[in-house]
This record gives sequence, structure tokens and C-alpha cells, in this order.
Amino acid sequence: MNVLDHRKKGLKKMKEIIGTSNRILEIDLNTNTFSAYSVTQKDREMYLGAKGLGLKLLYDRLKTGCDPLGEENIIIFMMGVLMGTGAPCSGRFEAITKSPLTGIMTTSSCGGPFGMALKTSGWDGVILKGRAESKTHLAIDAKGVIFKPADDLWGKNTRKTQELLSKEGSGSVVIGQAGENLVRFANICSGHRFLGRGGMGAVLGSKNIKAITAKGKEYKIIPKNKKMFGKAKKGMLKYINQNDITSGSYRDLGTNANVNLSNAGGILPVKNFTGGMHKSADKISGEYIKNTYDTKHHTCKPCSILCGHKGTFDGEKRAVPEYETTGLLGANIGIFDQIKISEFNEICSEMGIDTISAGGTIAWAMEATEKGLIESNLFFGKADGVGQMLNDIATRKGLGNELAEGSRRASQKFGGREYAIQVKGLEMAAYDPRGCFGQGLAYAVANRGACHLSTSLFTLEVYFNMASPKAKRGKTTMVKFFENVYSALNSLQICHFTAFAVFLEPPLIKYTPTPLLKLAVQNLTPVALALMDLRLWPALWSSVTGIKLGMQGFKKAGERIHVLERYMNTREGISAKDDTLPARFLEEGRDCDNMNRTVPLDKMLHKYYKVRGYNTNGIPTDSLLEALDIEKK
Amino acid sequence: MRVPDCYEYYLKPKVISGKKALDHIAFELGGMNAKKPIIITSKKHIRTKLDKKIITAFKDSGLTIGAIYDGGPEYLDPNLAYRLNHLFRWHNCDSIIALGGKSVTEYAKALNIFAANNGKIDIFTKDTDIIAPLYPFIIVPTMDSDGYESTNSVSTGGRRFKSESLYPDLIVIDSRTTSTGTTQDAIASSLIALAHSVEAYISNNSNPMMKSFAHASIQYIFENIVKVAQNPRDKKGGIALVNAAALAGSVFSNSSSHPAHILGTILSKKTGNYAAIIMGAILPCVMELHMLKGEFDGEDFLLAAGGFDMMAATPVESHGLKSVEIVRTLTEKLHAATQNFSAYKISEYILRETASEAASSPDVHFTEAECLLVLKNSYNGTQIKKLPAAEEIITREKVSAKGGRKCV
Amino acid sequence: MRVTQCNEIIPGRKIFKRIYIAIMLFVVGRAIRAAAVHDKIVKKEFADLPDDFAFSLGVLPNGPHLVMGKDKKGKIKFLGMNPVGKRTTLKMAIKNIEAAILVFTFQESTAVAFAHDRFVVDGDLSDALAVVRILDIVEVYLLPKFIAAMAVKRYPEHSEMSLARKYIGRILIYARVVLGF
Repeated sequence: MNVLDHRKKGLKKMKEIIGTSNRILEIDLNTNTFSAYSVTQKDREMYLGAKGLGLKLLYDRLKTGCDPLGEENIIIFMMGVLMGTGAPCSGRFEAITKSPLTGIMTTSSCGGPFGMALKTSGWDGVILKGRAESKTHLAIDAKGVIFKPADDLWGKNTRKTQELLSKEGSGSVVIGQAGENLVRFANICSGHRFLGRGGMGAVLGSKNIKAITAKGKEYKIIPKNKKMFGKAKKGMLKYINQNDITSGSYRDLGTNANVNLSNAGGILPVKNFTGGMHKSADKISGEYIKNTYDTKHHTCKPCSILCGHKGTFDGEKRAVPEYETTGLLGANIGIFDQIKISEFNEICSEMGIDTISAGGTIAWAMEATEKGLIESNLFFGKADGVGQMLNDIATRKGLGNELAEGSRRASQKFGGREYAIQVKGLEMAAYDPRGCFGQGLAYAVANRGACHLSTSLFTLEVYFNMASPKAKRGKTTMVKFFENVYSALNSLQICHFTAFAVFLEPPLIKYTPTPLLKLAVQNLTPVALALMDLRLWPALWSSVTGIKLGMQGFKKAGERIHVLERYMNTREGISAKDDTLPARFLEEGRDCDNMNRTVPLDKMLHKYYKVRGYNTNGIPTDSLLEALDIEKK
Repeated sequence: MRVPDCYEYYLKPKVISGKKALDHIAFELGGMNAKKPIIITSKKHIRTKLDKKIITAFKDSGLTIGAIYDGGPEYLDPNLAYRLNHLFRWHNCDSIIALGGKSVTEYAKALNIFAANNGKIDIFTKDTDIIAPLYPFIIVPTMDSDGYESTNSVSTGGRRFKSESLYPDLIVIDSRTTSTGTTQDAIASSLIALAHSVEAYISNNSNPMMKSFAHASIQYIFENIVKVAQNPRDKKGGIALVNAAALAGSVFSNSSSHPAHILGTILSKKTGNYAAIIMGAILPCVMELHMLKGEFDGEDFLLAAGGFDMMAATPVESHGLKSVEIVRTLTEKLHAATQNFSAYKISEYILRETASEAASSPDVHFTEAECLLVLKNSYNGTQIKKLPAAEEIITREKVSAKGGRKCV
Repeated sequence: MRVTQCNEIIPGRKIFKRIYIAIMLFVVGRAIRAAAVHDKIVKKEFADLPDDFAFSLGVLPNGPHLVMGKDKKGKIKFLGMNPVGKRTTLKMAIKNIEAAILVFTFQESTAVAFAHDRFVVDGDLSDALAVVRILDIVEVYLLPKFIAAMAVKRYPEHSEMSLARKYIGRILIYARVVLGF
């Protein structure tokens, strides 16, 4: 018997799930009970999975107006149908809840091992309701969930917690001290990835849940139409491997490939978004990191892009910070040293804090200190004090207790609202909208707050030069289109970065000269966007589920998901008054722009509402809800 | 009227109101030995050409205007005020005129503090006293003025500075500056002024001076707000409302209890909704709560708000209820022109957070439960019929988690 | 607007309004002198005033002004438009040129202007009130009824000032104003 035979003998034969199990684990923490829930075919068709289905499930269950840190809040972890099938870049899952940072719906996507573990345990998702009486760790397997005490885990950082749980299952989601202390932008950790935005870690912490582990490796996921799946997978891989970003810059340099591009385009955040360029930007760029810190791949499975990297910083092996961290805990606070930035990144990772919100809040604190509103040891350009403050935020000590509430609440208390760089309470990502107006509109109207992932329009406007960054024409249509597409993408679920491949590699786009493309996109926006070939995505979904879904159906599902989320937010009080940008972007110019431009949001916002089918107050109309088959509650 | 055992009322600003009032500014500045004012205003007022009207008023006065600055954001940025001080010194100015509403006046007051205290930036961070004398300070309120301009305080972020030196020396109310507002401005400022006046009227430390000014303010508002809301260009109505706001500011400074103001301001900050609409909705509930506590019986209030006929036609024991009813009717009538409070869709946990923050303010003499009762009833548009029960203290027993699983 | 972009503003002058007020004060000055000769009530008012009485009426801060006073023989003289160097026992000033326009375009009567605090008086208040009464009478002579009624506190009845007295006085006063004697 050879080694392979031994191995095969040792393997338990895994059961198969064709398509999707359609079993969602619904856990009631008040009574320590659980049940299995299945979605209807109609809901599956309309909401696809992951984000879409998660939102629908939340919509059906969540009480409007509930306290996000209260018992009545619900958090849902949903997998897409592609998880576990081996589709390229499908190792991501979604979490959906009401955010304690913003008070509205938040969704976040994450890689790491938990998604695969849960899916291969036979579950498509987990719904958590109520609040556990004491510190709890949920251990999930194919039979259900065991409620275990977590006193020995409580107080430990994410790394240590995952180490201790490594034997419990093949994947886990855990919170750090920040989540335990209900820091409003605490995140949830899965392996070395995070459900970053919106304070989901605090939601789990408020439910007394330290960790959820899934045993995994009990089921194999098999697409219903293997032939169609094979073809679509091959097509996707081909595009990924030929695209300059997915097989080039991101694979080589990680997302810090964005640093030099953003700096050249004047959208790198500098000194709390007072500037858009800096002469030292190259010292924190992807190119510099690769050449200086001995980087190697460190990525999710199954990933074909391999954007994640690890490096050696100051003799220590650390994850290379992502672009957002480099931008907001680096350039934006005046630090141009990746050793320091990676140190801050490590603290945030271990404590379980969102680096974007932490960076935005600390930048506000630095400017407020400069302007005499608060007293602190945080100063632009000085790394001293930042690490300690991140720890203080996670443990809610001193000024850290105030900053743990987020920049919106801190500025409401101390002043300086005009430079608390957030929308709807969510701190802004590392792209200055004064350099890309479409992104500015996208920030203002994104459902979860100042989110760069709702449209990623900055790529089109600044990186690829396919739309004029300082023009308003066509931007409302672009924002709507990409919002719909990305909502659908997050419901398949597949990594956002596949969009570079799918949008740019089809022959029509690849072989059309860029100036012509730009002309078409800018001036014939609806036509140009309609011609984009997005068939690979719905093809992958259809091949797994066996349900027919074309490009139009895919886009319509995306629109439905986006509008549902907006509608849920309007029930929580969101309206036109919240679709705005901080005063800094509407009133202050920058030195790097000799025309001192500000974002002309007013001129775009009402057109956006019209294009979307909202009323003048930004609320989806009854006719829109009816057209999208969203039941009004 | 009740004779208080002891009271204090500080009354400072001179008021000039009426036709060609703006033209008196030069003379008054002369009386204060000032020759070169700096004017602080906002872009909104530049768009309606109010700066030109002020410049015309200064013609032939022999005075020079040091500078006109319109660039401040809505919230007081001490750093900007600090830089304005450089502008003040550069042009050798010796007085300050604020043309506009609350945000403009906050800048002007902050500038005055910096200018008079040698520009020390930490004046807003450390617990230092504001050193008098400040420079001559004139305010020219516009339709968006809610009376806060004529108070003795300035707020930056979470801090409020109160000093008698911060009262303006002169308030100038001219129809040229009060008839350029919008319906929204008129309603918002008048609702806030009404809230201030009513709160002062019914507060525990109310005294004859306070009641007189509050009475006039309330009367002006009730008589003029509806017609100005329909026609913001109404000159007489506009002057009346701005006078009401100035009177409301005076009583606000002297009163120690501002529950509607504090609750409305905190809730507005948390949700981004209009403070005026929220305060207008909260006000009747505040009155009801005072009535239930036996602190308000509608005495004389009905005369101010409803007029002599209404007062005479209402039995004495119903004065309180009738007072609340007409305030409610007025605010509801105005809401129809703008938005309902309940349409803001504010979650209950935000109301609870607001109540908790407000109850810890020294200017609110309600308990947390009472604040929450006021907020909930005003949000739902219902009346307060009884006082809240004594607050329950809830203890949660810690129970250890049980292992095992239960499947349903 | 950046702080560094704010410049000084010199507001300028209201030339035409100044010229108008100057003309009006000139006419009023001569008319008062003429009325002091022809009208017995004005004569009596001046007689009741002290022997060294002299007053200036003008607009702050820089004029125009009018100065009138009694000479050693008790005759009322128009002392010119410049109060500098002249001894006056009563100074009346209108606070600004717009208020002066209101008074001299008869949108506000003198009495109303006083009530509206448009005037500043430095001297004996009873003398000031006498001057106001004199001004009222002069305005009745100078102006047609429909204008004078707005300018004076109370337009005199026929019994107080007959038509003959009014019209003859008007002719004589206008003649003295124009011819300057």
C-alpha cells in the first residue's frame, strides 16, 4: 500500500451537497436553542445568497429601532453558493447586522477559514439572536451547535484565541478585547482576515459571544451543472491570470500597489484629508515594501489573485498592512514608515479593531488636539502615542474610551465635526473624493456609510483613467450601476477584485483604446455600461444552483439587494440629510489642486435620487419597491 | 403674580429696532470710542447682499470697515477664530459686528475673547476666566437668529463659556436684515425662541423681569409667526419675530432651566435633524410635565399666547391645559409646513441615550426618567398624563452557561 | 473666503443726500430768521429764550449744520452753516444722515424723530423743545398742508392760524429766504 492509499484510507468519506444545503443555523442565545431554517426558492432567486439573502433574513426578523448593542439585534453570517465549490476567489463570506457605529445596517465581507469550515459543516449560514447569559463559545458541526463556556478565552487577543480553538474546528470567527469592551468599531477575526467595518465585533461582544467555530470537512460542495461550472471557472481563471492587476500588481505587491497610484492622482489621504499627495508616499508603497521587507504570499483559500502578503518588519514576521491601513494609519496621520504602520496593524489585528475607523478617529483626535479641542499626546507625524492609544481604545481607557465611540460621537461631544471624516458615522476609506467626484457621490450615498467598496469608482476615475475624475457627467449612472453590480457580487459571493478581470478583460474593453473608452464611459454612460460583459458571474451562480440567471437578472438582483438595504436604513431614520460629505470636502480646497476644487455633491445628489427611483428625500418610493418585489413593512 | 423671595436679572444689551436702525451703528460705535469694526457674517448673507446694506449704512459716517469675513463653517472652530484675531489686529480693528445668526455670533464672540485676551489659544481648553473688558460688540440679527446671539454664552464643542462680558453691547434690528430669510428660517428661529421664552416663563427661578420679557416674546411669536411663515418678506412681522428672539435670548441667559433646549440640541446632534422642530415638539410635553409637578398653572401665559379674549373665555383651572393646547396647535401648524418629529424615525435607544445625557446637564432639572418620558411622548405626539414611576433598579443575576445542546 | 483675502472697506459718502440736507438746513435757517420777524408766536418763543441763546442743528458726524443765535440787541441771526468756532448754548444733532433724510423728507415729524431717538441734544431740554416748536411753525409756513401735516406734531387749526396770516407769512418768509435780508 503506498502513501496515497494510506491517506485515502485515513480520510472519512465526505458526504456531498449538490448545489447548496439550504440549511441556515438559527441560534437563540436566550434559550440556548437552535433550529434549521431553509429559504424559499423565490428568495434564493431574488437575493442570490451571502449579502442579499442575509439582508432579507435580517429584514424579516429585525425589529426596527432596536439598540445595536442590545439583545434585540441580530447578526447573520451568510455564505454564498460559490463557497466550497472551488470557484476562483470564492473563499469569502458575509456578515450582516445593525451597526453600533452607525445605527443602520452594515454588511462586511471577509476571507479566512471560517466560511469554508461552516459551509463544509453543511450550513449555509448562522443567525444569532438574543444574548447569552454568560461568556460563550459556539461550536458548530453538522448536527448543530454546542454552547460552551468561554471564560478561559475571554480577555485574550484574536491570535491567542484562535490558537486555543485550532483543535475545535477548521475555522473560527473570534473577537478581541475591543469586541469584548464594545468598542463601536471592533471587528471580527477569521484567520488573518477581518469582518472589518461597522463594529460587528461589538455586536458579538454584546451577545457575550467570544468565538464561533465550525468543524468543517464534513461535506463536499458539488455544483449542480458541473460542465457549466467548469467552463465558467476556466473563463474566470483565464481573465484573472491575464489581467495586469489580478495577476500582476496585486499579486506582486498587494493592495499597496494603490499607494503610488493614489499619490499621483491626488487622492492619497494626508493629514486628515487636508492634502492629497506627499513626497514620502513611495516609502510606504507596494514597490518599496516588496523590495525592503522580504514579502511572501499569505492569502485566503481558494484564492487565484493572492493579494495578501507577509513580510519581515524589524525582525518580526508580520502581515503586510493593506492599502487602507497604510493610508489611514500611515499617510493620513503623517507616518511614512511601514515598520510603524505594520506595528499599528498588528495591534489592531490582535485587539480586533477596524483599521480604517481607527485611523480616521485617531486623525480626528490629532487635529482636535492641534486645535485645542482636546488634550492628548497624539500629533501628526509622530508615531509615539498611537500604539498606546490603539490599546487604550480597545480597553476603553482614558481618552481611548471617548475615541472608542468613533469620530462622529467624539466630535459631537468635543466639537470639530467638520473634520470628523465620516459619513453616517462610518469613517472614510483612503481615497480623497476631491480627486474623484464620482467616488465622492458614492461615499455620500453608500448604504453602510463612507464605503469605498460600494462602487470603487476611484479605480475607473483615477487608476484606469476611464472617466474624468473632476467631471460630474455620467457619475450618477456609474454609481448606480456599480452599486448594483457589487451588491450582486457580494451575494454570489466572490472577491471584489475579480471585477478587475471581468470588467477589463473581455475583448470589447481590452482592445478598445483607452481614450475612446473614456469618451464612451463619460458621454454615453448607460450604453457603455450596458455593453460590459458580466456573464461569468451569473454563470458561476447558475451552474452551482441549477437556477437560470442571466446578466440582466444578475443586475436586477443586485439592484433589489441594494434598494432593500437602503429601505431598511430609511426605516431607521436615514434620509437625504445623511447623504452628505464632511464639510472639509464641500468647502475646503487643497494645495495639490491649484483650482482648489471641492466635491459638487449637491449637483449630483438629486440626480442620483432620480436615477435610483427614490423621492427627493432619498427614500425608495412605493412603486420602486413594488417593481423590485420588495414587500413593504 | 408670585413675588420671589430673592432674584437677580442681568440686562445688558441696548436695543435699537426699526426703520433705519442700521444707520445708528456708526453713532453708537462713536459712543463706545470705536472707529473701525470688523464684520463677521456668513456666505448666506453675502448672497442676499446684506453686506452691501451694512456698507451703505456706514456711508458718510466717517468710519472705515476693517474687514468683512464670511468664511466660517457652521460650528465654531476655535482655530479659525484664532486666525480671525490676526485679521483683527492686522487691520487695527477696535470693535466687532456680527451680522447673522447663531453660528456667526459664536465666531464673533470667540474672536472677541481671543482679541481681548492677547490671542491665547488655550483659552478654550483650560478652565480660565474670560478676561474683560472685551471689545465693543454689536449684533445685527437676521431672520435665522433664534436669540442665542444675545445671550451671555458661547459654545465650542462640548464646552460652554458663560460670562456677563459676552453679552453684546448693542443689538440692531432693521427690517432690511430681517426680511431676507426663508420660511424655514422664520419657523426654525421662532420655534427655538418660543422654547426659550416658554421655558423661562415656567421655570422655577422665574421672576417679574423674566416674565415680562418672556411675555412679550411669546406674544410677538404667536401674533406673527404664521403670517411670516406664509410671507417671509413681511417687514413688520419679521422685525417682531427678531425682537422676540432677542427677548428670548435675554431670558435664556437669566433662566437656569432649559430642558427643551438641551433635549432638542442633543437629539439634533445625534440624529442630524432640525433642532427647532424637535424643540417645538418637546415644548408642550415639558409644559405638561411642569403642570403635573405643580410648577405651572398657565397663569398669565394664556394672556401672552392667546390674547385677552381667550384668557377671559377659559376657566382659571383650565388655563394650564389650554396653554399647552395652543402651543401644541401652533407647533403642529408649523410642522405641517416642514416635517413631523415622528417622521424622523428615531430609534428608542437614541432617545434613551439623549435622556441620559440631558439629565446630567446642570440646566435640566428633570430626572432621566422624566427626560425619557418627555422624549417618548413628544416623539409619538401624545400627552403626558402622569409622572414616571420611581426608577427601577434592575439587577442581572450572573448565571453560568450550561453546556450541551438543545435542538428545536 | 480665506482670512488673508479680507480687505478694508471705505464706505464712501452720500453726496446727494448731503447736498439735499444742506439746502434744507439753509432754507430752514433763513426761514426761522424771517419767521422771527413776521410771526408773533415765533417772536415770543425767541423772547422767552435767554439773551445769549444760540443753537446749532446738524447731522453727525460731519454735518451739514445750521447755526442760529440772538445778537446783543436780541435780534435773531442766521450764523451760517459751520458751527466751528461759534459759541452755542444748545447743540442738537441728528445721529446720521439717513435719520436726517427721514426728517427733511417729512417721513417723520420732528417730534416723532425725537421719540425715535434720532436726535442727540446737548444743552437745556426746555430750550430744545422751544426750538422744535419754532421749527414746526416754520414748516407750516414753508410747506403745503399735505406735506406739513406729516412734518409737524399738530397742524394748526384755522382759529390758531388764519389763512391770511399763513399765506401772507408764507410770501414774506419765502421772499426773505430767497433775497436773504
